[in-house]
Amino acid sequence: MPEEPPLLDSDSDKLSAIPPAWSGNVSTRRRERQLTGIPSSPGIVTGTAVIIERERSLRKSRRLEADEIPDELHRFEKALQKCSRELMEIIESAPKDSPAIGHILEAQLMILNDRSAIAGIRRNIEDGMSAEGAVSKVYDAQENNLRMARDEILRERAVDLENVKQRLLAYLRNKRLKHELPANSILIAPSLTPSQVMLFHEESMLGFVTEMSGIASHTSIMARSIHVPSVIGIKHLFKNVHAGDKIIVDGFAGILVVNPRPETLLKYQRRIGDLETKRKKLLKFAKLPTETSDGAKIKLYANADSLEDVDASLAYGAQGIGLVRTETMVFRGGEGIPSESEQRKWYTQLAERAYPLPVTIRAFDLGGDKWIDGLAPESNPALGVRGLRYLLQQRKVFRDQIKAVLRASTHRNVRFMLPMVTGLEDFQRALGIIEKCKASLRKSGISFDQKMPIGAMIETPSAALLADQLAGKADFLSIGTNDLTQYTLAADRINVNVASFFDSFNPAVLRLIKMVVEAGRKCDVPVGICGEFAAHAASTGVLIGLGVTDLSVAPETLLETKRRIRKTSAAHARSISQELLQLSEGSEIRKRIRAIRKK
Amino acid sequence: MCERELTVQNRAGLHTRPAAHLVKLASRFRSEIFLVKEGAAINAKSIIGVMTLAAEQGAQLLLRAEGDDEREAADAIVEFFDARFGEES
Repeated sequence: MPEEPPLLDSDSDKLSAIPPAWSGNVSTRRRERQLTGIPSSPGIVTGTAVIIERERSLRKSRRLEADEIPDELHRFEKALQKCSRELMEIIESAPKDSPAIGHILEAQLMILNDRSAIAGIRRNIEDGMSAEGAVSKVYDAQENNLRMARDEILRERAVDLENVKQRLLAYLRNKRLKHELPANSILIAPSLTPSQVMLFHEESMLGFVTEMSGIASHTSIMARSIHVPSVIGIKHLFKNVHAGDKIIVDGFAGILVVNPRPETLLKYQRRIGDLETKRKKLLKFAKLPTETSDGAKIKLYANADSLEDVDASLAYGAQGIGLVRTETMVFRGGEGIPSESEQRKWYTQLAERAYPLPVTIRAFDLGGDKWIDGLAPESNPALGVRGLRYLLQQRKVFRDQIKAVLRASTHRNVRFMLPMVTGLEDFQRALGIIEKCKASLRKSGISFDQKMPIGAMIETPSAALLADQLAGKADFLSIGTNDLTQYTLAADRINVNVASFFDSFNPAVLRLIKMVVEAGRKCDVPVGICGEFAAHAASTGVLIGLGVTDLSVAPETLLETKRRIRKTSAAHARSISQELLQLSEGSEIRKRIRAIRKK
Repeated sequence: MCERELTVQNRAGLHTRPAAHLVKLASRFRSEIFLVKEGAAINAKSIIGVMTLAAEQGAQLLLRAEGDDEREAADAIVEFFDARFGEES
């Protein structure tokens, strides 16, 4: 640490806290309140509220007299030097295992030292503008340029300029961010910059809550990567929380509890205890590479049906989202198919939340056991109008969804997946509709990822048998094991009377999976498995043995699955699955696996 | 003066991180280096300039280097673009 704490400030009025009064003395005047916001970084912490108020707006700037200009230039140079030094110190202390943080801060340091910007600021000061005014003017102009960019990623990067500007302005006003926080601080702020988060984290900040939202913001990314629980987007935050209040931040649910009752506190403390035990056991796996004991790389994705799932998945080290079941949106809303703009909003949030990791959005898988208004009653719905068949009939529903997904693809991390493909014919019809939707968006000047990958779900025996043809047209294949099992074995997955026939370990199912994997390999198309089977304790090894390289599992089972992958030897798994494919019954296969696992 | 044509090849375009790399690379040379997109020229040694260039995948840029090491500078930058900014395999 430097001799002079770089951010210690004597006359700051921005920070105020009453010493923690965490034990006892729960005042009856202070009633428990629960405020709901957006979960931005998972975890639960209890602590004392420290309020960081909004920066005062710029003082009215008057024109400088000629003899004041040299001093003003000097003031700016000094602020520039100090900000650079501070950023460099933060970069050095940033965790080395999270390169994303270093890149963000390094880019900010370069922005700070941008020669054209500095020259512009100097010119403005020489023309008689205050240093604050000059900094704002130059940065605001560039921010506006970026905000007008067609590309959404570039538009978002205006945040980087804003952060650097705020940093310079804070210094110029000699109100540097104070870093002497009381113990167990939870910061309550209108917004925080990534470097503030980093800095306060080095002190005693346990978590933070902001009014501003923006889950893909660098601040949220930073909080997640250094495991600081946070909730963002709470309205009227400052009316409800005061300095020194005892608070609980639930970064899983996005809840802030102010002045918790003893029983609420106890409930959360138990959860913290449980989480801690579980976390210790599994978290060491989160950062380890997903590979078998003999070094074969496996891509481990998570299935996510909510933004919270995405967060949990990232915290547990998922390499992306392998399945978003969009029909959950239909059932959650209760009002039928959501509009294009509602869908677009949700898909965009998912994509931003997971960015830069990929998100696989599956088109509505309606029909079958997922009945929806407007579908004619069918005597055999599982073999009726469902999945892609439904979408090809309900063109408007399909088109709205395609457009919504395309519009959410501007970050280029969205993949689109079609359910219940029967073969090339229906898949190609769908591709044709997607092309038309692209053309119509292009005509309206709306930007999207021109090369958004389109995948086919392999859930029917026909699709599995024709996987070599599909692999020639699709960007990826994803096997849905539950449906593939039900159709291959002609056993209704929800009919208890045939439950004994429904067995994903049946060699017929395993042989089809192998066919699909081989077809994918020939065309250099990734083949994944999403669904419960991927996370099944006994099946992970079998699937690896069959040559599956991408698995997508529920967030809760990510770490457990990864632990199993790391214990599996791919070579050994290959020879075993060869053997298993020769057996005649699922029960035999499972027995054999159990015996091997016991060894 | 040395001029070369460049195409942004990686999917995410010239966003903050590659912009930072490009500026670092350009700053190693003594030559004046400009990137021209649709008639507008920006200094390749200015990260704000490069970011606000808003170069997306497929964008065509003209590289213009002028100085005693212009050829080396141009070669290095062309290579950087061809390598997709070192971001994708």
